[in-house]
Amino acid sequence: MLKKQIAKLLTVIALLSLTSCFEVLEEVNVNKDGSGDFTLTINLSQSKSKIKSIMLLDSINGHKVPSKEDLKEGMIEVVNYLKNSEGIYNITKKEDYENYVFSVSCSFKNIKSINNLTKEVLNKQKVKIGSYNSYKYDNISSEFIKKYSYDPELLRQYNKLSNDNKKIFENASYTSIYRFEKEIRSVSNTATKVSKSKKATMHRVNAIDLINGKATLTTKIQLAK
Amino acid sequence: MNKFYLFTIVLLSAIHISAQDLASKIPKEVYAVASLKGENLTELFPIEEFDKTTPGKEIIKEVSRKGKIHSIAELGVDIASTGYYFYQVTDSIRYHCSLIPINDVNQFESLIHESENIKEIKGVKAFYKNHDKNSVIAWNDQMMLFVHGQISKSYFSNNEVRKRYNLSIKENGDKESPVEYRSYEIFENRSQKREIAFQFIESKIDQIFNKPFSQQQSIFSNADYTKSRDKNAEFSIWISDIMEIYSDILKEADMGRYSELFYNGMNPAKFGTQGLSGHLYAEKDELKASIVYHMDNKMAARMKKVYSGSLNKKFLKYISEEEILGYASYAIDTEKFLVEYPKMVKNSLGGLFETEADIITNLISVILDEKAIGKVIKGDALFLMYDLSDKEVTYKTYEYDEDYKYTEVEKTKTETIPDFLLLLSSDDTSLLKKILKFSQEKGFASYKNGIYTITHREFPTEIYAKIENGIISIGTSLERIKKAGNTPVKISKKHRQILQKSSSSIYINTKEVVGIAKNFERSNRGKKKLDYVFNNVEDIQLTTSKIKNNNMTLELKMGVPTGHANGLKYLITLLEEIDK
Repeated sequence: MLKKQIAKLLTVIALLSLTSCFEVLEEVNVNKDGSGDFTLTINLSQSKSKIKSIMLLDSINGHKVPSKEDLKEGMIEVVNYLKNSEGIYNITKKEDYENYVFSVSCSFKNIKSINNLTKEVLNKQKVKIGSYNSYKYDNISSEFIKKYSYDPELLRQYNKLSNDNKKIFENASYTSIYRFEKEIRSVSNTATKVSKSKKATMHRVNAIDLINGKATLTTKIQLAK
Repeated sequence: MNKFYLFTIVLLSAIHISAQDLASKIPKEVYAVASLKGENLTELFPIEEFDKTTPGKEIIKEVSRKGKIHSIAELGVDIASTGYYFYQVTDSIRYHCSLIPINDVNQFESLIHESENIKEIKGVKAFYKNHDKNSVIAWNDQMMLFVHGQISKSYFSNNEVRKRYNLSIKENGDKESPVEYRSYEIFENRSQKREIAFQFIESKIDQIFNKPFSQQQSIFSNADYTKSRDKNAEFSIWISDIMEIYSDILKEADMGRYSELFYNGMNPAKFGTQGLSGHLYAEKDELKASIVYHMDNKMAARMKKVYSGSLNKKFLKYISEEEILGYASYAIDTEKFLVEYPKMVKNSLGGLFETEADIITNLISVILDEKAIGKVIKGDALFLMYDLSDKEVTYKTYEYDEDYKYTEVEKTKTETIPDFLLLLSSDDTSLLKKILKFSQEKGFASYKNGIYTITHREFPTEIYAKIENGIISIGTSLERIKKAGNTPVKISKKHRQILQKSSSSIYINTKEVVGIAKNFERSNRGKKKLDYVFNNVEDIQLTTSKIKNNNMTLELKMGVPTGHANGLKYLITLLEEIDK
């Protein structure tokens, strides 16, 4: 049942475009005391013509095409989930149905509060993927840790897609940006870049590498004490 | 069994005799006849050549399980004459029969897998399995008959009939109304039903082999059928009355309370004969299928009104034949359609809901002003498909500065979109103009230099429209809409005639379409197949005629590509190539 749902999700995403791609942007600002802001953006605008064409249909290859109302409802569910989560406030959402860019942002007292976010959001959409992020910020040691757990189920489901549908993931990207008030001393993940000001990091991976398990989002960032 | 085998069995199950036309064995009153002309087929595709094709080899392999054969010619059946199928319905049983001529009965018998089980029915050799006695093959040295019988449940629900067949009788206290049997009550078990059907099959075999029809009893005395025969067709089908077949199916189908509604609607008593005949031709330079629908007077009068309109002649000025991938056209009269259609619906409801149907049909004509609607949308349309075109589209992405602060930026990229043009006639464009003006006010449309641009954020692309000289043109390319109707265009006499004389038509420039598909195909196997089709395909044309002598004709045509001797050889080679 779960596998079916994952397959469905992948197919629906794949159907969004055969020639285009999408971007996922994760942004975290961490204050000295460990509080901060979190934003997750999904930008499908490079595939918007395709999406608009598909949205005119009821179903495609036997999969129901979600309507605009379905998408809106999904966003409301996510916001409601965040509102009921402890330690999370200032929740805002942005929906652009012309360009197909969606984002949710919130503020947190401790970054731990958003640990279950991606997992729960996917659960809410009845898709249970074992790959998720968790964060930890230690005020005393000035250490920021992002842990990414990979689930090989993702690859198994991806392999079931047709070659045409796989193509869309080739150009899709996942970008994480973290900003701090203190300077960065070191980062454990060699793929993570540090900004000139030494107060921000950026890590961009191809969706395909995440699916294959070749890339990891895990990183440990040591800040000045 | 693979599809080649099935395909060819279908072909063979109608192959024929030279000495005598087996049609003389078909009774006058049948519902349907199909025939396959072996003489034509073997001329187009000699047997020794067919043996070497994939379907030929498959048949030989399939049949060779018992006796070894090396050619289709060794099946014992006379491939070079006509074979028939017919469907006969009586009050008690439905027969599906195939008549196939035989030229070597020993060869034929040697191929029967369980030849030790050959039986005799009314002095005729027959073969059947005991658990399936309702499908029997019977033969003599001239022909083979395959007969399958299905008992009519309604007939055996009658107590008089049940007495004759010694079936258990359900008594009804109230003598006035007939007893009703549920479908599982009609026969005690399957074998009882099977035995009764078998009796009918036996008498059918007796009649066909031992009691030849006179000319008056056979299908040759059915003028509708003889008129429909065409010796040039490779395959033909004829249906005496579609309504009769419908109502027969509905009579037997257990659809509970709905069956009465449908049955009334389809009751053949309310219609005149509405026949159908179809032919397939695999000629030297053309593959053609034609179907003629013969209507009763009432239906024909209605359809004649609906299809009285013609395609707007001005449309022809919009077609640049060299550029198009295909077109689709139709011409009905909207006003007549809105008047006649509710009547047809009312008619098909039968006597049921008569008052309600009356009210509804009257209500429709009160609410809808048929004349006014007919003026706005006259009912003729032409859809022109052009090549795919490239179009610049914008999208949002991000640019990052040194500190990974990002800004949303707009970039452009090229996308391929279909390019089409739709033409509609209108005598009254004021309503449409009002709608477009309203859209302008709402921000969905803009107007510049005579062209409306319709943008909706949920549309994948802008749509352009122009209203000029009573023609509404709608399309995805601004350039094309600007030019539409104003630039000299070329259209051949052939397409000019098709568009003007047909009630509807479809044309596909197959080569161009396959060429485009080739660009999108990624797998090598698929590319190879498309390559073959690309080099071996001609344009496809479908037309439906206007109503003439109560007939409407549908025709589907494709030229035989060069390098292929005839349509049949082309089709078989194409099947082989695609299946590779």
